[in-house]
Amino acid sequence: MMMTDLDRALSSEEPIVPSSGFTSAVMDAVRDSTIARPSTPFPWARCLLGLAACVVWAMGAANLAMGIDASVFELAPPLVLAAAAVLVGLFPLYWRRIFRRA
Amino acid sequence: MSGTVEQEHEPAAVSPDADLLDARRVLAGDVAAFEGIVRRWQSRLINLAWRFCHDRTMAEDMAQDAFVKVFQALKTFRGESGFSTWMMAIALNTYRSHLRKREPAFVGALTNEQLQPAGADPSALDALQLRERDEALRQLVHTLPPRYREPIVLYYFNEMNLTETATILGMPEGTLKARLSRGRALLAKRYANKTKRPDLQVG
Repeated sequence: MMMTDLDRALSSEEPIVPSSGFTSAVMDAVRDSTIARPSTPFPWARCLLGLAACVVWAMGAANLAMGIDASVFELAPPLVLAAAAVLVGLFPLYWRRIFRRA
Repeated sequence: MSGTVEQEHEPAAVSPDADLLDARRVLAGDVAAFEGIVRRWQSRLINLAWRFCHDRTMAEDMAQDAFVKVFQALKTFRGESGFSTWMMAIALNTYRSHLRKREPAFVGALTNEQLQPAGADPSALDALQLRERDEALRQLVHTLPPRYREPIVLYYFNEMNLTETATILGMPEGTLKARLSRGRALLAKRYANKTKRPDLQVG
């Protein structure tokens, strides 16, 4: 087979004509893409449940540790509770930014 | 009625200045200005998609998706390449993802007319046979691996313009030439295998 045969076959393809409604269909799709989707409501119930679970886990871990070496972990439960309280307090301020990145 | 349709199909003159002007208007908030870009490029984008899939509905879907991607990416156009090259590169990426989702191309058995040897005297073949054989070759392009299929489709779509094709594909011209050569050899081999005529292979 000659390359010219291939060249002719591949370059001589008949063009197709766009459908009559193509332009308007594209513009509809373009406009749809500009409409902002409603943001998903933040799952507060799950979040608070998760935080509560974290606090319980941290307190349990601290109590276990105190059983092993009370002198080191004596202050752990109040510190954990304080940290959890700070996190719970700050979370509503930053959750939008955190979840937008995710 | 038909006049209206023809008017809509009539390809508008492709002017880089008009594209840039419309792009600026779109970026300034005039979404309707994008219609000018669509009208100027719809035929080209649909026909490029058509060459990849040979399915009119799919070609129009692919082209529509490409236009939406172009619209969304307009703010990233920095003018480092021509608007057309930039747009064709976006279209090509869009088409790739569409084609990845698609089932592998099926190439049916060639008809007797399509089995005519390509090197035969054209005077012995009527125009219909020639067209059918060319169509068989074009169908076989769809069976090539993407690394050869894309260069071949784009190169012939761009009227054998190596520079523009290489820019759209983002590869050096030397690589493009090598892929074209290998792709055409592979195509000729497959055509020969399909027609059971080893003598048709490119030496």
